[in-house]
Amino acid sequence: MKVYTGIAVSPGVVTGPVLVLGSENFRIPRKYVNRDAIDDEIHRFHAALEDVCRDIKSNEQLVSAQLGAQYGAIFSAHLQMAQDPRLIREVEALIREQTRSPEFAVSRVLRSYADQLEKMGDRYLSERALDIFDLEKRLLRQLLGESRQELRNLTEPVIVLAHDLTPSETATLDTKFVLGFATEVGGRTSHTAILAGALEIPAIVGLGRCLAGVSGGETVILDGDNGRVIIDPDSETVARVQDMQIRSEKIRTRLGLMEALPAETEDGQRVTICGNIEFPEEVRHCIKRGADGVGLYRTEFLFLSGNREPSESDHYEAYCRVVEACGDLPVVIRTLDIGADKVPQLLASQFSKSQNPMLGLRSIRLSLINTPMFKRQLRAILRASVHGNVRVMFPLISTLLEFRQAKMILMDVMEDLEDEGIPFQRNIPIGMMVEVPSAVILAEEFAREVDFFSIGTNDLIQYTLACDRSDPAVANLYRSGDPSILRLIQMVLRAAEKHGKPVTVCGQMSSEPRFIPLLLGMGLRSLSATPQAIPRLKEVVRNLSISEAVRISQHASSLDLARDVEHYLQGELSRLCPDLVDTIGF
Amino acid sequence: MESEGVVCRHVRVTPEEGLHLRPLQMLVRKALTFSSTITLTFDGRRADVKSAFDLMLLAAPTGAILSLETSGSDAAAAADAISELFETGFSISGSEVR
Repeated sequence: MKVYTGIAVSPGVVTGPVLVLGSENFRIPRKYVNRDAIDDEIHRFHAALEDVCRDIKSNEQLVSAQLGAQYGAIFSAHLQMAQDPRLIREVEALIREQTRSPEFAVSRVLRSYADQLEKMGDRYLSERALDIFDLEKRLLRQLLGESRQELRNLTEPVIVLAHDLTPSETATLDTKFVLGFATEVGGRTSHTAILAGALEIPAIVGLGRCLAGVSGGETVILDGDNGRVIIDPDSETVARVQDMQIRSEKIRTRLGLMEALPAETEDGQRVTICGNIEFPEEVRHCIKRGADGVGLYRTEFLFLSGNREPSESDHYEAYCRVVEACGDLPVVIRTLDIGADKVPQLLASQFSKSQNPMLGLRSIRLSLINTPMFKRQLRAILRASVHGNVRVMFPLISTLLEFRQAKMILMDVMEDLEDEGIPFQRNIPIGMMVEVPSAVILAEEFAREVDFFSIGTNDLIQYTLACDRSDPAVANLYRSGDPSILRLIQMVLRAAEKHGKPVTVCGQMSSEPRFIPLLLGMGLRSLSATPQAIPRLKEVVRNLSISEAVRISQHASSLDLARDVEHYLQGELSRLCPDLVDTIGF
Repeated sequence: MESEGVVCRHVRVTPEEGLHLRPLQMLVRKALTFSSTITLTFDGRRADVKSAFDLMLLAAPTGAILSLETSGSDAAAAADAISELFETGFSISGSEVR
């Protein structure tokens, strides 16, 4: 039995035989073809090209439908390359004049393009070389008829374990048979990870090297809730997981019923539970699960998807889609929070190549020095504000001056709109993310100036404990239950209460059921979580009374170690909602 | 019967980053709507405007002057459409191309 841990990007636990896909090294079996067969070989090349174009088009449609047209555009550029007359002419010439095999010709021609582009020493063009390799791969796959064909002709359920899956491969996974997948490489924000969530199959990325020890066919347990892959589990583990799956199926059904019920404690305290979203499409996941609104609408996708900066109308359209879908429910739009782990190409030149991007020019700092871009976003938010219940939130605020500057720019934009006679909500609530320890330390001062706080625990934990959670060597320091984090949250809640300002917790912490009694006991009344977690959170809230929550939070706050806090909270959760615990980890 | 023609013009590369992804995609897309042969020549290299690879390998930097040549039944309209893209700096309305 071997266990590997990676980044959980799509939840669920599945067991099945493994299908291994190594990194693809195409071996071109023959470099020459028979002179008599030239016409047939050219025909074979065209047939492969047609199939590739068809695949690209269906990728484009699928991705456009699921994630929006701007993602589909990745594939329309690929299509243009696949249909390129120069490519076709040169490949045909190699086959006809030098009796080269189509495989060899395709590879030779495309690699010569990639090679020339890379030699130009131009960043934009050398990145294009990657697209060319992708096309080469697609064509060779068709021509050789091997490789990942196995993904298409599945007849029994499998769990895919791959070095990497391209976005197109992910988008076309046959979810009838592919129970889940895990990859050695990849990050949380890769397109592959995002697509896995859209497909709603369990997925893990960034496992590190693990394929060498797997030959295929072994039984594998893929735990998309905890980011674990267990290869060749012992019979005891299998039995435990199977038992857990049966119960988790039951609870999934019961949680489905939660969608229509309000998040209200046993003693009648209503708790607000909103959803965190990234793409406009996700708003329906929130509404479906009975969310009280959108507590965090990330806007980075607008910047990460295109080759140009989003226009005001790009922003406006994306915001209106969510705001209108929510009706009277609040939508908290967070301004650009980019940097560190995700740098869009179009802003790349502005990022300092510092040793510590987490501590560098990112997020609100970037918006404040890039006023035209910031104003475009703010204008769109304000314009969208007349269509519903919109709030604006600034990320990564670390000083009062930053908050004031951001607010001042917002006021400027309001003035401009007023001059132009464009309607907007003048008293739009203006809040900030609390994710830098300095903001917590000065929470009282901030509380006087903001309309609301939202605690972003992910960054707050990383900054407080000085650890990068994606670095396996120190990730163990990253604990939501660390007593220092509990105390910081307490400080924010006290300061906000004193000034009558609402607080939401919108980080990963608020999506984890075991932390809910603690947070409610501390006085929190508003959460924003990934939409998928909302039914579970409701279940916890509905099985809890405030007096119980207070007792739990008091005891948790008296403990010294993160480990003890989390262990205690886990115990309390299993007492409150025993079924729920069984579905989380084993 | 439509008249055949050849049109020659000069265009200047205006996008800041040279003839890169977006302008390139727009050129190919536009060129494909004409039946004429459309070429751009720079530094002795000639590129078929209907080929993204040709245009990429032309590697025309900002400020470069290219000769545009169109020939065929819709040569004049093609020359107009292609030079318009250059003149407007490949700006577009809406989200046609990203």
